[in-house]
Amino acid sequence: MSDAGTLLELRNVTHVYRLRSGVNLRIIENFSLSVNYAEFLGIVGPSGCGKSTILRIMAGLIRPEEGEVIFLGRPLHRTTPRIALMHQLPPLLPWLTVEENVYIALASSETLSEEEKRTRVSQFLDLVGLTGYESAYPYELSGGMRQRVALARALVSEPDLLLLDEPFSNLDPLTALSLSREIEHMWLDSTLPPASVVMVTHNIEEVVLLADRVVVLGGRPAKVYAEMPIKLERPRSKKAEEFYGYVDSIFSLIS
Amino acid sequence: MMKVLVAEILISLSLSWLRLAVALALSVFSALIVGIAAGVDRRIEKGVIPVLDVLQSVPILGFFPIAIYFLATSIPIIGLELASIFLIFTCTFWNIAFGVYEAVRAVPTSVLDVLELSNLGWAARLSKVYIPASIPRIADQLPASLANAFYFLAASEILALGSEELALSGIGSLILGAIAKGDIYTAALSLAAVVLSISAVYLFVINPISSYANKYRFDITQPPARPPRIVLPHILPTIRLHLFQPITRFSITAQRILPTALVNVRYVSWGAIRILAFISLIAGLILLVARVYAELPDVQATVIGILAAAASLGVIPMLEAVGFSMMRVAICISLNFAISLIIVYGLVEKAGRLRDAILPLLQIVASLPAPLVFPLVAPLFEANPLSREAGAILLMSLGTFWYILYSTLGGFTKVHTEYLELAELYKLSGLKKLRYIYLPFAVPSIVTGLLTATGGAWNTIIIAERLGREGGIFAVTTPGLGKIMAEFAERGDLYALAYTVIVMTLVIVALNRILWRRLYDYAIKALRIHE
Repeated sequence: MSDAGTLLELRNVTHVYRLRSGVNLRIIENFSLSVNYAEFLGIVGPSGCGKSTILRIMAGLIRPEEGEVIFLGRPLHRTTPRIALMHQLPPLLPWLTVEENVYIALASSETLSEEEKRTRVSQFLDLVGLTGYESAYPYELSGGMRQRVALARALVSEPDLLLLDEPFSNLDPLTALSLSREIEHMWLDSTLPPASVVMVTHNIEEVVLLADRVVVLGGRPAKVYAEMPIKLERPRSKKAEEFYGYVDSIFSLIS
Repeated sequence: MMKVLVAEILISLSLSWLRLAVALALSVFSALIVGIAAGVDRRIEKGVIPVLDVLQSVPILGFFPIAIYFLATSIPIIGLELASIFLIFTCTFWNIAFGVYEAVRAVPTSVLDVLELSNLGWAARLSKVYIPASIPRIADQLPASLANAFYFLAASEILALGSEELALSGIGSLILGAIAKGDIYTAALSLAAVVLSISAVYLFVINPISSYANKYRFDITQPPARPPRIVLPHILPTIRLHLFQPITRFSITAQRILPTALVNVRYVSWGAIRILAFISLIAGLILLVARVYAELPDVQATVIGILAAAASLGVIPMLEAVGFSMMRVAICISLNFAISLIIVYGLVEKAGRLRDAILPLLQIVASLPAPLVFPLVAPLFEANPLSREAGAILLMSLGTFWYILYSTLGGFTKVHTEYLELAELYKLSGLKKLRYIYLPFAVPSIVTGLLTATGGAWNTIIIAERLGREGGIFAVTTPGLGKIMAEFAERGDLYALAYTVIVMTLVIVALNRILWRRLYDYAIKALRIHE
């Protein structure tokens, strides 16, 4: 898997958070990690260990104080439509319909014509199963459906990399399972975006169900405590013999 | 000579600040009583809020007769001081009272449940929940109140009505007196002293209070929607960095205060205090009513007098006056809003960390008493009718701009981080960012800001359309409601003055109900903001 080439790489990245009191918190220091092509990477760790910061650095939202982010062989200095981020609580704009909420991801694109943008939006709404809800408003949707709108919005620019920030933690278990299956399905389908996925979570079962490789973070500044490939057949099931073996070993690494 | 002048300035300045401090303390104290009562009890709310709403629309000049006849002339020695403090109070009280009311209404149900369960007495509820919950909002409102008080500083120190002119020594009367005598040197020096003292007060009083108040903040993470009934804006609400002060701190405090044995003792003593307070309140009210009744001219004569004044002025001149003034208000508000939008966008998008430096500066400029500065530059606007209009609009703007700027800024800073990340991820910038992200989030706050600013602008026309006695310093050539009000006040024509005050109050209240409230409701509906 790791031989398939590197999609994105963090090289010796340091990020300092300056508190108002003058204290500097070193969230991450000299941190390196790479995301491979066609990989589903899971990042787990206790709360406050800097997982979300790492994800935002990968997205180009935070520029690290030191070190580099290399995306497709080039330094990444700002956000790009080729990297998408899905938040834990999807920030949908309440005054826009489902369709318009997805559309804003393409609003600034100069390469697509208006018609192409509209077609693309309805294609991706269809893909996440929201056909018929185009003109609904976010407050009319359930939590799971809102997360689907966010997914369509993240994918509509056809990114190579999808970053997930605890995407299922606010959903009920059934909705979370079906949504995670859908993301897995799209990732596996080589004709659909994204090529690679990075998921931050503290749900260990979730990460064992989805990830090719799990990185366990801890400490402050954050360090990679351990790395573990998950070699289970897809589609995975919790009933698989080795499943809880993985879960237990990751659990013991965290605690 | 120099020494005498400096001493005079310092003494006047201290006297003005002393009055201001007393008025502000009174405002906060009464705002706590009224705001908490209205926030806690539905029946009181129904009675008090509409009354406050109308009273805050009454132009400050409308309070002059009360100030002069019931306080200045009927109470010996301290009456004049009381009148001045009362007038400052009318500039500072309303927004603080509405702030407290909103804060009490915003106390989360979970906290109220804890109060219910723990069987707390009233004293404990006040000291542990309602007052702490109000503190951040009071702190937010202080700059606006201060700016307002300074705008009407001179008006509150020179109680002029008809031939009577009762001037108190204070920095406002000192400056206007100096200008009237053509003593620019004294005026400029006094103004500099005012600026210095305001800066010092911001630095050493207001800002420490704000950061102290942040400890009590627990309502910031709420959505941008506000109960539409509320009139006053939340000026300067979210400029702080501590956006995510934990909500939990509050319920923890609430749970820690349960030594029930203590509560019983407190409850009993509080009950006694309450009865005493109630008795003295009733006694005070009776005395007040008796006093007012003795002083008040016959009701019938008053009504007839006002009607006669209305008839002698005529309908057309009044309509003309209102029309011209309304045009000025509209131009002033639209101009100020456009400029605010540009400044706020620049501050939020481009200024970065500079924002923390620019904001306090703006605050100080905001509380510069424009009516005292303006006479110095008034000659520049005397040239022709058009430049006089421009001067009037500038003078109005100096009293309204900050409301609009603060509420726009407040709205813009309400946008949560994830939405800003969204704009960055999808490269929404410039107009797109304004249209999709900033404006919709800011609209409720902007509308409340414009509403208050419009009321404020109507209040400022009394000064802006005609500054100085006998048309002395500056006046517009076209008709105006403020102009005729100033003329009636100068003539001491109380009935005519009452008539214009009533008309202006009606216009402000009507604009609030017909235009701004509807706009607010429409915005909330169109934006689909649900709590």
